[in-house]
Amino acid sequence: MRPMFFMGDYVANDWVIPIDKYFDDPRMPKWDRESIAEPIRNLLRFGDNWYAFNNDHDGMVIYYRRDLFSDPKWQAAFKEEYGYDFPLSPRTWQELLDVAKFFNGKDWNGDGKADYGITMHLKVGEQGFFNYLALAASFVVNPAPGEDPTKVTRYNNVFWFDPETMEPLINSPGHVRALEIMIELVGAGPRAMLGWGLAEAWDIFLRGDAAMCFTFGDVGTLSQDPRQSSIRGLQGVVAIPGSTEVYDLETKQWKKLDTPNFVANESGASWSPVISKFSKNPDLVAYFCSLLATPEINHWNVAWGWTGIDPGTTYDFLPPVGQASVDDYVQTGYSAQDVTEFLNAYCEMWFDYPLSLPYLRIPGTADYIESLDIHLSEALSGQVSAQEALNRTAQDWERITNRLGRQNQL
Amino acid sequence: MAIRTRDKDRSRILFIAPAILWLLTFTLFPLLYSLYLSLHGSRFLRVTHFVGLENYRMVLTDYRFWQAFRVTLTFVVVDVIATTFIGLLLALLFNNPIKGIRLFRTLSTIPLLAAPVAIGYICMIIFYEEGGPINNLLVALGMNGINWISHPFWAKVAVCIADVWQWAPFAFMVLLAALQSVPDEMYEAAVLDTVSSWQTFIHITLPMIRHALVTVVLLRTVEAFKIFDIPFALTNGGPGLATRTLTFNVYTTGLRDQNLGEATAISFLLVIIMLTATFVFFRIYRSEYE
Repeated sequence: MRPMFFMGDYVANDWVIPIDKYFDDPRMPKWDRESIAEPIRNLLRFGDNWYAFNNDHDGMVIYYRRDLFSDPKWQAAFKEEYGYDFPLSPRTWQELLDVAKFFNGKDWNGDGKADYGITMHLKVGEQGFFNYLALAASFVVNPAPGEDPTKVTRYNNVFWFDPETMEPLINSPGHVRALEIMIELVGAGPRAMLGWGLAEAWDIFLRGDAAMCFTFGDVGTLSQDPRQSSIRGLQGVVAIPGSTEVYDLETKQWKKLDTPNFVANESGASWSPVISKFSKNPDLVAYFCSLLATPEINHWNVAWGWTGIDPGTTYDFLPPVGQASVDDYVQTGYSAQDVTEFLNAYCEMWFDYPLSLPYLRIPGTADYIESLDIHLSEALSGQVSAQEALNRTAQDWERITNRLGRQNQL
Repeated sequence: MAIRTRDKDRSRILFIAPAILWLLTFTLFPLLYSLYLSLHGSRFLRVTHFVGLENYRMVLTDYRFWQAFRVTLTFVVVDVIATTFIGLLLALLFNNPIKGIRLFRTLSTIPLLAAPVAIGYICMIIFYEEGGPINNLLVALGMNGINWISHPFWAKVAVCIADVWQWAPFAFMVLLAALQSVPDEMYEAAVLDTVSSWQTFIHITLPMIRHALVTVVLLRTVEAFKIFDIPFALTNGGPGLATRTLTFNVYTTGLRDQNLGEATAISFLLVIIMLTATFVFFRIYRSEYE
């Protein structure tokens, strides 16, 4: 079971074998590749081959307090303070930032202490960079003009590097604007989150002291456990917001948009089984992994939730896109309304969003990401500006690319 | 006669053979192999080709190395001074007939027995910013909580506190033993000469325990240069690179980034730094050891 984020390393280093030959093998349990959301499906493949079996489907969404957001008292106060209607489910990062700032510092849960607007897990060396990637995508990934907005060109649907020169794009204006928004978001939550891993960030939301949580699918499940959550039945979920502006690398201008630029993210590991090249019995491994990937077992893992496996196939989602029913989840302990919001947010992001953030799937990913992670932390903790942090990252990335060979990386 | 000598020689060799074997296997071979690695390129944990001093050049031109060097040096200076000072204070305090001193001495060894990584994780709870015991106490006293982990300066302070907490008992025990070996007659003579307590400390106590003091400082310096577990568990080297030490850099470069060549180059540079520090130390305190 490996995180899909490092597929570039697995393949380039010849550590894993393609699994295509098992698809039509009559000995193998059958699993439905077409039912997997396309952004996740792409993670399981590399080049022309499949290398991983279906299992987990990670991505980031925004969890919020439904009771709080739907309270007319707070909605009126927000309108008075910000001059526009309260966004019941924030659709852009600009709206989300306003909402986070609005709730931050107010005692909205009545416990006598100031509460927080948003919580994230930003400890260096952990998973804070995933938050950044999910946020930055809509500022950086510029859809291609014409009929196919997903077409990759030198200037469209690129995020990490210039595909012709391997020069880093990480310090381009889109990234800088995104990091500036993230720095502002940190100011709308507990500063302690700069030293938090997943557990601490989730806990403060689950115990009812933060209005929003920007994280993976796990909170959708954990919030249903009354032993650790005080918000069961009160949880709303919205797909990752978009941006009303995106930076155009070709014209070197910001593009203002009437409808937000929505970009799906597959932030997280999406732990999926691969077969090691050194396996003594790859057929047996393939059988077991195929069994895990079958709709019966995979959906059971998702519906029970506590397995840590998140929804990502049509048989996990509700009609009209999917075939699951709310009852599948209610009988495992979910609140009907909570799980409906949860499933619909993921379904919208993966099946309706026109664009998707491509993973960095080249050799040296760990090295590139580690550098980004360090410099994000420097910026978020106020040691350097957003521009300086990303300039440092770009400098590191050039160094890594030169070490691994620019031509090899292209 | 000759046969007996040969037998004796053989016995000697057999007796020291395990030690030599141990040294070759676990010290000399890894040392030579890491020297070999530091002179070769690597890709995904595989050694590729001879690159000469390229790995050293890459490391020495990487700001992460110099940042880690500054952080390590800060920890060494602060931790060694604080550990020795607190250890000495405690030793002076308990070098008097105090009831329960044996119990205190036993209890004081507990931090030394704990694994540093465990101390790091315990400190995560102690320094927790949203309701940890220290911040709760500060708030109860009407003060603001401190950003122990999320602020670059306080994160360094938190690591230092944890490290000093673990090692101060070591300094305390060594210095207490040294203090207890100072002959009482010397203090009695000082009292007769109506010398003040401060003068007694400066002119009698300090010179008499200087060997122990120098040993404590030397051992702590070497140990502090290797600090890894506490920042690893407590701050993960952050925020940013604020608490990332040289040994932490070896770990991330070698195991996370899978760059064995540069990781071993950093290790050798760390060895050179430590040897230099030890050499300078012995030059200064040569007279103490001759």
